[in-house]
Amino acid sequence: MLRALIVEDNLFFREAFKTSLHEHLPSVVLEEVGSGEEALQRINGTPPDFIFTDIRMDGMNGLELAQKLKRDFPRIRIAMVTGYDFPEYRRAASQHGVDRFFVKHSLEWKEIEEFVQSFPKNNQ
Amino acid sequence: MGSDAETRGTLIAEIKDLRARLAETEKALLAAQKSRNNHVSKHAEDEIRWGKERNHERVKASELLQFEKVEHRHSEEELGKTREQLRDVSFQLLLAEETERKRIAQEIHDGIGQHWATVKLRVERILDRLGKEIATPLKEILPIIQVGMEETRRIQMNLRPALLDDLGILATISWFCREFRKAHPAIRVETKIDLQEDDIFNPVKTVIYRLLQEALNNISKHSKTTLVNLTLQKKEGVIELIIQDSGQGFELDAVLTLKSYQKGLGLSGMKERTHLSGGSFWIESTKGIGTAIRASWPLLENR
Repeated sequence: MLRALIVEDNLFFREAFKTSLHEHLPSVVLEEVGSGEEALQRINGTPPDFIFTDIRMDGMNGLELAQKLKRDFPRIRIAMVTGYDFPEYRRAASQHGVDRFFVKHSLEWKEIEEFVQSFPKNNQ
Repeated sequence: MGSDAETRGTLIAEIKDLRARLAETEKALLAAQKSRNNHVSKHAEDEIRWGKERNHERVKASELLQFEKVEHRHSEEELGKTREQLRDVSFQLLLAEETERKRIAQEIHDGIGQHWATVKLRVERILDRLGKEIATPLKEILPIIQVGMEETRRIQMNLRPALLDDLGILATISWFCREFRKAHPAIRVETKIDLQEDDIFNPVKTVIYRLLQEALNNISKHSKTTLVNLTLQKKEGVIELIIQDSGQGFELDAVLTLKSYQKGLGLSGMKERTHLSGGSFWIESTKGIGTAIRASWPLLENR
């Protein structure tokens, strides 16, 4: 069973995203944390298959988190979910090891589903 | 013989007389000499005394001058220190203003921007479940939410672009120039960046962004140019920012005396920010040829 971790410091968005994600991908087990630091602690236990992380967070930001995860857990697939739809953020995300980039105010659920469903194929 | 005796008597009398006159003359001469000597020595004494007095005055004046020199140097040192302190305080004030802008921008993002995104996500989810008949008119709410989100982001980015803190000055310049081109399609902006993000001291990054913002704002308002050249480079021990347009130029003195230049950042604000952050600022403008501003800061390793 696939497992995904949502890293988002805004509780309202986190809940709404989790609800919608669950509706689109009911078979994926969802977990959530409110910061990059918490995410690292959680991942050190049992690493998930996916991470959906915000960029702007108090403390460690999403880019730093992605860089650490790519180094220590290269198998985890990382998606950035952010409100900043600028090429500069996309470029930085890709340089920090982020696999996919989703924009908060225009989430394409089809793309998110494809991203999750492509997991076993990409990791064989 | 009688006459011989008479003659002898007369001669003796004459000799006596001559002797007496000689004695008198000698006496007078001695007196005159004495008096002259007295006079000369008094004069010399006066001279010496006068000389001594003058010398004393000169020593006193020299001491006074020395004292004043030391005092002056102390005052200059004090003034220098005060100026330096003032510069530090002013720069701290500028940094505090930027920190405050950052805080407000972040609160707008976290408090309002995130809520818009959540509302949109929730509304879309509800719309997906509703029948077409009810969903279609309700969908009209989505563009309104979208405008709200964009407005919120515009206000936030105007306060301080999130890119500056998340990604750095180079990404911020790239974003800002693209936004500028979108707003002013008639003006071509050519950029030449020849340094690394880490070459620039963090507080200077903010100053570079504010200079760029002000310069491009002035260019779009007044220059009537079609081309802007922006250079940010590492050169001969300094970080150098040059923003040059080929517009109509202006008379520097006239612009500097205008009261309106104090609005916004203005030329004086650009100069002040550069100086406060440890840099140097130049502006040159020629009517009919264009305007160039140049700001430079010592490289990080030279600080």
